[in-house]
Amino acid sequence: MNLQNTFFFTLFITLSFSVFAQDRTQKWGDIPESDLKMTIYPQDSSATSVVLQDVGKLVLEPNGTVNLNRVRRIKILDVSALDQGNLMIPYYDTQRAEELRNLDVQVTTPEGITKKVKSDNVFTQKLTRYWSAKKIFIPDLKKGSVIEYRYDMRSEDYFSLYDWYFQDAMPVRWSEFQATIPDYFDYIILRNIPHAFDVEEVTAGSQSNNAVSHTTRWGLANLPALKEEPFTTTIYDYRNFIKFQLRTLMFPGSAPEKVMNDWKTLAENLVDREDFGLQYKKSNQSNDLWKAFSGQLAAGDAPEIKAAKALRFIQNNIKWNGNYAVLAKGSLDNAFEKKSGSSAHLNLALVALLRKADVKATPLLLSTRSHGQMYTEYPFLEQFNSMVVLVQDGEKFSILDATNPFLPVNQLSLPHYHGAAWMVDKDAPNWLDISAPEASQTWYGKMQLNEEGELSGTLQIQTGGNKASEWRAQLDTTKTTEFLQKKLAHRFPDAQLDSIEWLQLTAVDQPLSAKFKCRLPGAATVANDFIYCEPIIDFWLLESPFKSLTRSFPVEFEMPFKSQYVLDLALPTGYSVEDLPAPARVNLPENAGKMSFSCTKNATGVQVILKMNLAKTTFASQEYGALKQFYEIVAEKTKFQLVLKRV
Amino acid sequence: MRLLSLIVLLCTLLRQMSAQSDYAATGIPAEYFKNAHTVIRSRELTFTVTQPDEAETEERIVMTILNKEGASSASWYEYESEFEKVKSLKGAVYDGEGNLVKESRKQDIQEQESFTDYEFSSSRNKFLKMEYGQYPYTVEFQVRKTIKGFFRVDDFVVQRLGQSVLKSTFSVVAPSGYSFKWKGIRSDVQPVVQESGGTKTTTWKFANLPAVPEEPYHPYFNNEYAMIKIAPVRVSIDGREGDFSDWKQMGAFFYALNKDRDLLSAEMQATVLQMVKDKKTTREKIDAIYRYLEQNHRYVSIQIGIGGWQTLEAGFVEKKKYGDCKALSNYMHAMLKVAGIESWVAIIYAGSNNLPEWYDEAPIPYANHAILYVPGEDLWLECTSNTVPSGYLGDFTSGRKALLLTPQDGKILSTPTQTAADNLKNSHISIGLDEMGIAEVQGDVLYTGDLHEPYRQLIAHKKQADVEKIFVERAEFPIAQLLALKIESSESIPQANLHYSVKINNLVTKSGKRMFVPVSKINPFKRSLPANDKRVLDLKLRDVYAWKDTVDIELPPGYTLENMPSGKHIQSEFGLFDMQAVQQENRIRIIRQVEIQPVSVSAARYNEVRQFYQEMTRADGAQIVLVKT
Repeated sequence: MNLQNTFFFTLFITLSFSVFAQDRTQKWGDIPESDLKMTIYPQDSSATSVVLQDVGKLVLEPNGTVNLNRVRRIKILDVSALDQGNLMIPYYDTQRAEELRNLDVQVTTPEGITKKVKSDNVFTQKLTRYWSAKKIFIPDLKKGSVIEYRYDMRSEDYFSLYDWYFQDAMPVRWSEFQATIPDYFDYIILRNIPHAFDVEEVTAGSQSNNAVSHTTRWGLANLPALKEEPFTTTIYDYRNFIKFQLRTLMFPGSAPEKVMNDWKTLAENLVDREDFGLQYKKSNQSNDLWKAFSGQLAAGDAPEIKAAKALRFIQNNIKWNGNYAVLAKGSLDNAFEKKSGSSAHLNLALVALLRKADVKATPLLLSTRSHGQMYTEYPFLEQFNSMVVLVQDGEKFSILDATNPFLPVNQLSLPHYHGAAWMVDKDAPNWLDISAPEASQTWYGKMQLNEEGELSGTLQIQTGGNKASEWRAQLDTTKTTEFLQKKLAHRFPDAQLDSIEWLQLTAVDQPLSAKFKCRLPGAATVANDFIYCEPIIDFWLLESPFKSLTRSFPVEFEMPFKSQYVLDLALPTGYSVEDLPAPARVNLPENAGKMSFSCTKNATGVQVILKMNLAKTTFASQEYGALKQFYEIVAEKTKFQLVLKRV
Repeated sequence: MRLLSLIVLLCTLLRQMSAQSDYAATGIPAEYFKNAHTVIRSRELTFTVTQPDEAETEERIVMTILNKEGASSASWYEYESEFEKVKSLKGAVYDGEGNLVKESRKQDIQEQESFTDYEFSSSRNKFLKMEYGQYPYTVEFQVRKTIKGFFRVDDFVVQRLGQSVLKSTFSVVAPSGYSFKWKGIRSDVQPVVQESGGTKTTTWKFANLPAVPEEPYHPYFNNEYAMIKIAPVRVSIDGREGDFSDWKQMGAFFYALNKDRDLLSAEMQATVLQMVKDKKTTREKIDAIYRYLEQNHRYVSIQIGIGGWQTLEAGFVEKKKYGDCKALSNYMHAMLKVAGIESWVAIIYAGSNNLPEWYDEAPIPYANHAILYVPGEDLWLECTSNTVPSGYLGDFTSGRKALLLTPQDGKILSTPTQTAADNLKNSHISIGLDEMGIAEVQGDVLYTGDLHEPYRQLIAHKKQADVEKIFVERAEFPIAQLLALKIESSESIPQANLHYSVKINNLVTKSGKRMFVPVSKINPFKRSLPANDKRVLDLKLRDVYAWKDTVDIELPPGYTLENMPSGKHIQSEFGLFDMQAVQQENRIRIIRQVEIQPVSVSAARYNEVRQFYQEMTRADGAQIVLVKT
């Protein structure tokens, strides 16, 4: 512990020293000898290229035009990084205005010879209807060279300006963003920064066109390369950035105009929008839907019955087209006719039906896991990219999601679980905590082991929560026998299944189970007078998914889960148990996870029990070691062997 | 106003009524549902040669999508370039009852461009997605294209795997004197030829083809089952005329198209001569130049106009230090020429999966890559790599026909076929165990051929710290501590050496006083085919390799051997598995051999192959049992 503290302290001193020792931003073409001669980037010896500096200067003109000037410098350290000489700069491109201009690229060799990259190496490629990219192929690029490029971008979007990302897939030695903004405009600044900026300073106001502007400078030094790790919600949550959202316009001589208001105002605006609230408030947007659905309602249906019926109806009659959205273009009836729509179409249609059925239903906005974090303190719409539905019946709440036909009431598709969601309700524009319900999987087997090493008997597998939804979705396209065969084939390619009986295959609000007879030839090794048997046929996991020895970011699971395996195993006559493994029990701190294992003798043979649960879904990188070990212990137990000896 | 609505309503009703019979999924006879993801209800494609170097295609297709697997067919893709233009692309979608749901509008046509940062192309894909949320549904597409200058006519794919065809017609309309070759693949339909007014129409008609199931590991390129291949004899592109009646003539055309583009500057010529000055043999000279190419150039693909078939000048690559496969091959050829070594560019279809077949009866330049051939040394050079040794092709281009563009004419020559001896893994692994079952494992592994490539690429692209991280993440076994790791690749031959030393906590399982040691956990053999008692398609597996592993297991103090696997030997035309275990005092030595041969057999033998792999995999799962004394 002590040692670790010392280490951190030393590291901190070194970093601070290097930050303050150098003049960080160099002029175009002015490359220090030490950078030209650099062969290894001292802060990261594994880097094959490094961004030496990346400087963005944004100037917002009093008329709302946004200008960004960017100057970037990359050092090529290894031949394998010559591909960095293929630059691609995407930009918004419509017929009205081309955003990118003054592109300038040059390369300096380690010997200090600078050459401009001529325009015949620059190509313009259309990417989509609204986006184009400049593709630059830098000629005659050699290891050790330094690439510099700069360009200007221009936009009229003063609501959100430009985002600035400090980090990259390669290390960044110095990244700086400057914003000069007239005092007419008041922005909130969203920042995703681990600690503090290395530089954060505001320079005195300058005057032009009757507007006083202030310039703020933000800088970060020595940023490590951003590398993806498994089990992260999204890598973007860990990428250092700064973003702007307009809060107030304060033009001289007129009253301040609040662009970002409070949550109540945002809710009011949404409810009156054609592509949102009016979709469910205006009756004629969902006439056909209602006509097709209303017959399914019975007199006296309780609100929760109506909610379940409406959910099933939308799920089965409009297919999710794979797009997440908050706003919905075109009428809901149109989506119904095409049998296809975004998450907004489907869930707004659900709101519409429930309202017509006199159930209190409210849209819940959220940001999906891959879309990045939400800001509960800042009421702006852009942070959201999808929606689900809240149903209220007095004190009772439930949440609904129509995007997947295998979801029951109170269960969302996994990308929708991102910690929170916001209610579009002008009277109660509240944030709700939303977390995934526990998923589960249990096995119960009654099997006989024979002298040839074959296991046979009955096995019942039951899945619940999102695990059941996952199974039902897979079963929708695979034959049921093949499906189970595949599950067991991990360990038993020769498994033979019959008398398969499915319970609750279609009742999505119930756990799903399969009961079947099976024969597993070769399940045990017979050698001399011994039989060695691995009695755990399948489990939540058979191998630990955590191989890496280190971890930079937290481990984030989509859902908590519990899993249980129970097997009553009858032994072949003439054999007795030679060696019983010791029971085991492991608890993660704060009840974050538990596992237990036991193998005990009973009248006919032995009973094996393996249990595991994970109650917590986020583990800090410091907890990685313990979590990895926990998984390894479980994986090891799934492979335990029972030893029988001929008596 | 009211009258107008009524008319609109009537029209809609009429259209729906007429639609019912054509588009309703219920109109499909039951036998065409079996094995099918899609059903082509009707299709007509007419390819019309309007001028010697101009053509038009007109196509109309009505297809029912039966399930999720067929959903990708609800999107229609068309390629567009300087030479090919999409004149119109229209689509419609009908529900299961045949009611029109939607007709496409112009703005529904999307474009798909190149999003990668190493290529620029002036061509693009246009596509129209007509999906509907409930199966089955029917889509209809109508396409008109014009083609200016062509030497390839797209294959008419009559039937894909998993597709039934009720009615399909393909016509080639051309002036009477116009000649082309054709070949039917997995179809013996003969065309009907009609001539009138100086125009010859050749028509193939297909009807009532039940679906052939889509099964894994089949031999068919791109899931294309039955097709008609058309090979024009006189071709013209960009004002250049050619004769494609055979490979010889075709090769001559491409040679002429790329001729005299191999000039290097005087300075570069001097550099090349300097490079080979002290080299004695031709091969040494080639190696020196090839290494120069690899270490100073990168792959960048710029495709404009005829650039798909004509190389950029060697002088361009000399100046820019980049190019695509043609440009880099041509540049290498230019350098070799300066050194007095003859070489020919070869066009080839690259890829590790199933390949399109080349037929002498209908020669078609079905290719996507260019490599270089040095006839004097019988040596092939892949010129887009930055890492591999000269003469190495790998499974991307080996074992297939290539068209050599020689100054005389075109020549078909096959690239070398890989054998198990080309793709080796030889390892020696020592496992030391302590009383707790914690293993210290040392491995020395030699890889060659395809098996060595990932290691060569890894160390070429990553530095040691990242190499270690990736090694740990990709290992078959959970590493607790990495004590040593060294990966090297040979400069001159396709070979890599791996040395590692690791601690593994859970290599063995413990149960009471016993320890179970799986003998192949460090490098398990796993190969399986899905169960299928009704296999219809031939089985094709391209993998070919051989492993030889010696594993020495040192017993932990206080433990003795209770059981170990008896020897196992399995052999067939599909491969070999051999495992022998020997106890030498405190050590058990396992010697395992695995050999996998390429498989190309009829469906009837599918289960034979499947069982063979299963038996190998099972034998590989053997374990040693140690017991505490």
